[in-house]
Amino acid sequence: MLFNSFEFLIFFPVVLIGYYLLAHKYRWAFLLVSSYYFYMASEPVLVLLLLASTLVDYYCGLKMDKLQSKDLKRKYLVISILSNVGILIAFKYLFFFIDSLNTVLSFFGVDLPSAEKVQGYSINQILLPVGISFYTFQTMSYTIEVYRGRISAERHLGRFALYVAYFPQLVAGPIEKATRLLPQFRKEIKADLQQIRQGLILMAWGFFLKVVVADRLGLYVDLAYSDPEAYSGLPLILAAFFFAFQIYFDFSAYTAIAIGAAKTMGISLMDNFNRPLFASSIRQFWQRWHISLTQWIRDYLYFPLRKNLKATPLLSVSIVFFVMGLWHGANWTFVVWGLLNGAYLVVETFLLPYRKLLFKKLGLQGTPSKILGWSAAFVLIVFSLIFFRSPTIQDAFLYIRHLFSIQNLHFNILNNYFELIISILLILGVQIVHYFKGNSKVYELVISQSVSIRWLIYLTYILFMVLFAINRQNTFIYFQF
Amino acid sequence: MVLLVTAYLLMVHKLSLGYVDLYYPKFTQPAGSLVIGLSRAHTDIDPAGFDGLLAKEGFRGPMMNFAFDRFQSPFSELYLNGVKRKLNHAKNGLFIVAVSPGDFTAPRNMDADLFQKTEEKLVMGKLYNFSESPNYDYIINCFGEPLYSAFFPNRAFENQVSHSNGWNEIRKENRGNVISKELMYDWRKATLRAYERIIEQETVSEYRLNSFKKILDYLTVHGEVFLVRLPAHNEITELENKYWPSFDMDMEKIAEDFNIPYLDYSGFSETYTTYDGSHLLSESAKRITAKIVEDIESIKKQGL
Repeated sequence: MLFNSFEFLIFFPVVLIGYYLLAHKYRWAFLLVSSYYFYMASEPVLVLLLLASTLVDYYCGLKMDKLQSKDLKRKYLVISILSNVGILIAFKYLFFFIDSLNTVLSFFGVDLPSAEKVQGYSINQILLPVGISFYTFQTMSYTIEVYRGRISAERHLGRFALYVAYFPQLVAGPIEKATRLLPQFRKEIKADLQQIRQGLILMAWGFFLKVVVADRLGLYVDLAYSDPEAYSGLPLILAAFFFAFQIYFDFSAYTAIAIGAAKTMGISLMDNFNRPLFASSIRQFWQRWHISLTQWIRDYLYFPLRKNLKATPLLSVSIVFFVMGLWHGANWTFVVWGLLNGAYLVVETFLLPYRKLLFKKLGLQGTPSKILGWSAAFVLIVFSLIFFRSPTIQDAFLYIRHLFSIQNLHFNILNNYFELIISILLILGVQIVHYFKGNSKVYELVISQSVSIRWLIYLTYILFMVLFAINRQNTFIYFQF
Repeated sequence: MVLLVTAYLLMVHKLSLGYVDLYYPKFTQPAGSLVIGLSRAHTDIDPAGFDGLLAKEGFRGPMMNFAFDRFQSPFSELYLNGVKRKLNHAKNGLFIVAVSPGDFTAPRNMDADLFQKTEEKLVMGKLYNFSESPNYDYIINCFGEPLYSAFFPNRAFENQVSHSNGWNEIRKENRGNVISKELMYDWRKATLRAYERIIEQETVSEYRLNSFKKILDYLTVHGEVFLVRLPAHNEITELENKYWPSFDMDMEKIAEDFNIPYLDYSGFSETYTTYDGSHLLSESAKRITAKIVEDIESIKKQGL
């Protein structure tokens, strides 16, 4: 089910009212059924994978909890990781790997059957289950934490299943650690009108970000990326910048709705963003962008690579960003995007002392150095996102080639200046709000106002949503991952 | 919430009073006869040109152009359902079904389930009311622009005239705007690139062909069907013929199987003018419509 759908407009109030009407001991069951319904509304059959992942990790968690020996525990950890990674490979990466292997082998004259013919599968008989990368990573974090002894296994199967499937964050995160989320399901929560109001305002902000801002930017971006050969220079530069804002607003919109929805139920989800587009370095960007994923990869991949396997920093960073890219999708474009960011980070770290020295000599310290750092980081991020957005590597290079050939100054490819101006004003407006309040504290802007101002804000919101929403019920970009 | 919904519905109503979009008129009245196909049929065939033929031969009217584009109306089960809903069991209709090689392609390796899932999100999959005026269902579920558009009734592309019979006419000169030769050249090159991309990424789909046959099957029971290949710029036609050399033979075979005539105008590239290499300008669209009518009359006269 999409957050930005009419179904959700009915689903959510029903769940919220039901949740508070029920006694605490029944709430987990009600939320679990609601979450499964939410998931099954888009793809009923694929709920079996969610169920399989839940049952395997529940079982492994319990087993590990009982065992003392690290070696025996490791056996169950491996089962958990293999089953989750196996699901991911089978349903997300299998054909990508086979096709990539075929490409390499065909270079050496070896001709294997194409991916779609393997085992008689049609490539599309295997549909990509929504949110698969999110819930498998979330549930793996649980078994890893149990293995490390940081938490005890959850004995209540229903509550554990709810941790894996909790609908606000099921399909696009934040990827919550069990240590944060599970205890909240155990705690008795009383209706708190203030929290409910804050949650609803956050959700409203998320809807606005999605249907008014992100989807609007998508109109321009889609046009430019659909035929980059038709354009040169300015429109492609503008579309590249617009996409950086589009993907950020789209994903942070989902996150705001998720955090807001959970907040109305008294559940606190972690924030995934901390003003990433204001980062003054690549390192800072990755500390502020999709925080739950970067933390996951840091804790469960980077640290083990460095500490246990003694991998060099360069190798570790390369592996981490390769995985980061691949996590986003079975396409080399994502891998290139990841590796490019890894390369940025390595070069940035290497150049840091020289940069400091140079800025010192030029007298560019404090704000000017931050502005320069921000500009460089932002342009580099925008550039890397060309690979993220392009359907193929060839398309990305085509886009870049045309981007650098400025033939005229025509950039209004939508043939609608009004839309273009609105888009730019909205970017500025949202960035100002994010600068001062971040993404998950936006409600403070409203709540701190007097009643009359608050109502003025509500009415303006309604006006904007009705008049300016892009009425396409587009899925969130991160749903595909 | 109540305020939001009320304001939204008021804006939906306001929009329905003026121009909505180029597909909206296709869903605002019932039809007895139809023009079926993709974007070429959408711009090239004016149902009004068939009025005389309908009256003379006793076909059921009115005739509507019920063609969209390759994104909204590829030959599929959903398009068939749309046709059924549009006709609402009416019999004795005249059906012009336009085809071109690109109408039968789809991304590689798609199966019927995936076609269904992908196309459920298109107009044919989202709509319940096919012949209602005003059609709020269309505006709420299928209109993809912001609702402030209601305040700009003249926002359509200057050279486009959206007719109530579903025809999307493209005039070379209209409302002070002229489509220049340079622009037509650029558009033609863009069309060529798009077609080359389709050839690269897609393949002739069994699903599309089977759905097309199902549509013919349905239409032949409800009236008389004429299969038509419309003209395009010779660069486009050459590309299409290179991609699918036996296309005309294959269509003739299908026409034979269904006992319907196949009228091929693809060899008349020089006679008709397109604005983008693929779709005809208004004057040419009217002429090709008249030519189709003339040929149908001649077929009827010969009793074929």
